[in-house]
Amino acid sequence: MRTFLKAAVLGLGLAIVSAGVASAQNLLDDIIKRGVINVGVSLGTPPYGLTNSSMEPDGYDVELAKLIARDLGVKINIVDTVASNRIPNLTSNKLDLVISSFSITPERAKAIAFTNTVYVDQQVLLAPKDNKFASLADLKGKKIGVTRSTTNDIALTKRAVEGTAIQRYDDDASTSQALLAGQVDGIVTSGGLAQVFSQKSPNLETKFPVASAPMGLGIRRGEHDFLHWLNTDIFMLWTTGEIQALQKKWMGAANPELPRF
Amino acid sequence: MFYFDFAGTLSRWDVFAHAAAFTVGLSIASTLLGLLIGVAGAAARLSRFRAARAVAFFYVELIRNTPFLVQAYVVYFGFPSLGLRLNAITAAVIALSLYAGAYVTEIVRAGIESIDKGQVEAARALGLSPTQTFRHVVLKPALASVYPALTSQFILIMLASSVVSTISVPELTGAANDIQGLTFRSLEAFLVVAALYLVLTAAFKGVFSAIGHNAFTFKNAAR
Amino acid sequence: MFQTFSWHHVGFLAQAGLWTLLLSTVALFGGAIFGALLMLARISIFPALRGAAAAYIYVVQGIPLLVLLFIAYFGVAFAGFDVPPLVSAGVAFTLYAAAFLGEIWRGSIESVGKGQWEGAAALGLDWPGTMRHVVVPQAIRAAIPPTVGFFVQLVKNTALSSVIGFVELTRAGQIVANATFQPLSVYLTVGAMYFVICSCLSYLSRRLDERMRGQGTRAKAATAQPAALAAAIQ
Repeated sequence: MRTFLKAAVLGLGLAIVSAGVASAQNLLDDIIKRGVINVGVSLGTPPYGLTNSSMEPDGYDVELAKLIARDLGVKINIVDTVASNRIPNLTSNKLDLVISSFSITPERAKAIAFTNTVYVDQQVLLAPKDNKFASLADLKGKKIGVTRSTTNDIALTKRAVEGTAIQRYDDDASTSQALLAGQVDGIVTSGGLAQVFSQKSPNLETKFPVASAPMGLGIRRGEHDFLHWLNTDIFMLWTTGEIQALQKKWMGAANPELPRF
Repeated sequence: MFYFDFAGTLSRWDVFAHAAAFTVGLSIASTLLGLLIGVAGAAARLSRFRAARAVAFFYVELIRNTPFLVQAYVVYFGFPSLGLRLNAITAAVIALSLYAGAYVTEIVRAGIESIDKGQVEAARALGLSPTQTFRHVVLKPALASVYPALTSQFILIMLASSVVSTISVPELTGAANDIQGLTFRSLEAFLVVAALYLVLTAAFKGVFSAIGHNAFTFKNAAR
Repeated sequence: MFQTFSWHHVGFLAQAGLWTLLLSTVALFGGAIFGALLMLARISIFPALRGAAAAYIYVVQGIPLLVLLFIAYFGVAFAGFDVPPLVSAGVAFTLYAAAFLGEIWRGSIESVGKGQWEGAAALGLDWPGTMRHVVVPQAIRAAIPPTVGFFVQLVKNTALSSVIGFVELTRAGQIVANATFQPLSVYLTVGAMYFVICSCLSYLSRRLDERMRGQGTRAKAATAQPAALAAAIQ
């Protein structure tokens, strides 16, 4: 028993120490050397991240991540990451890259670095057909769901008229379930998600756009080589038409162009 | 290198104060309802009727052997498909009360079982009705003997209430989550909220032991 | 893209259930090692050690597990360790389990009568000898049922690690619920899986408890205190 305990303590200690020394000098070199990239995607956010019928990660963000891993020449490790953990998971070195319907904002760019745009999304109000919502003013006294600390949350919180009851959930899966269960009168979500949902559930429809949201990939600040490589790769994937093909597959239509920094 | 920056988090102290008050209210409401459910549950567990015993047993086992998070999801996301739509706060109070009720049932039952049968027989011999006997000879001393367990149950409910932030209830942990979304300083937000929970726990423990000293001055007859 | 809830998904959930069990087991062993140290500190003759252990237990038992989980999750990473979610969740649950197991076991140790210590001292046994040959063998018997009972708590509480993105049974439930649009059936299935695991363990704990209680008055007295404590923390 005693030797077992000793071995267990020693093993735990070694595991922690060996995990600790893997801190990077240059992230791009480090990823290539270790041969695997850790990518954060929320798997509860169709069409961006989801689990397909063979229970594998799939969706626009997942397929884009695979293209990037292919071009880097490394294996991919998809890490399910709920929306509110995207930035903390980057800054705390848990992830190398976040591809998770990640809207670019100046505030977020103070904490992490964004690449060029990979998709321009409309944030829309999705609600049952019976609810006559034409503008934000109609939401007074209504319960509107958003995913906590997403740009949907920020956009609605900034623009909503007084008296709108904003309900915040921890991830997109919960927010959409709240809508399906009738716990909220509508949700503010990405146009892609809204389209998927109104296809699946005919009594839901997209009411009006709330804001436009260019999405990029997120990495830690200060990794200039990696940032430059990613921007180069996004440029190439757009030039070859692979990004457009993915947008068409998952969102129904491709952006006519992608704004660049 | 990591450094701490509490400025953005602490400047939102009013949000924390508000949410802390909400957490306390939520915990008190749920514990009181849970106490009612628990006393009824204990009575059912010890009842002469087999069906009542079975229902209470099943209820306790069901609640105690599934995670509270899943219970909250079923009440909030699941019940609407059965036609029962509760708003987030009501759903949270119901889920927390049902959760508390199961544990209180067992605590009160243990308290009642600790009462000497002879006392009940003596009370009946003195001409007390079954209801009077239950109230004065069984329930009151039983509650006195289970008071410490009940108060720690309250603390546990307060800690468990953190989970209902996931169904959009604006309590303390939800506030920490909102603030980390604004400041991007996750560790700071959760350290502050942990300190607040500790303060609440300590304060309630103090209040409970003061009440306990006053309310149960007689030495536990049950023991 | 959307699917109907099927046996396929049940299989996926069952697989995630194995992760739940793995995380719980990691937490039980980690918590056992650390909890034993805490227990020793709590009953030691050094006031500083006793105070530090008591403070640790007070803090961990005074904040919600969810908050503890967030702190450990982000804290481990900010301290510079790059670890997989299983490890950071394992660390959080180990810290949590240690506080409770330490207290349960202290109760078991202290339930061994003073007379046993005095008897051992009279026979010339030193402190380690008394612990090893007299106290611990008796305390272990008293400690097993509440420890199994606490394992039930661990299994249930690992549901919270879904919030930090560890794909265990509950997070798998969220993912399936969002792919199938059938939250009620999914969460009832998830609940049933927890119920099967936990009620088996609860039953085991009760049987062990009854067996201990059946072993004469001395064992009965020894189990009473930890059992009451276990009831209070459940």
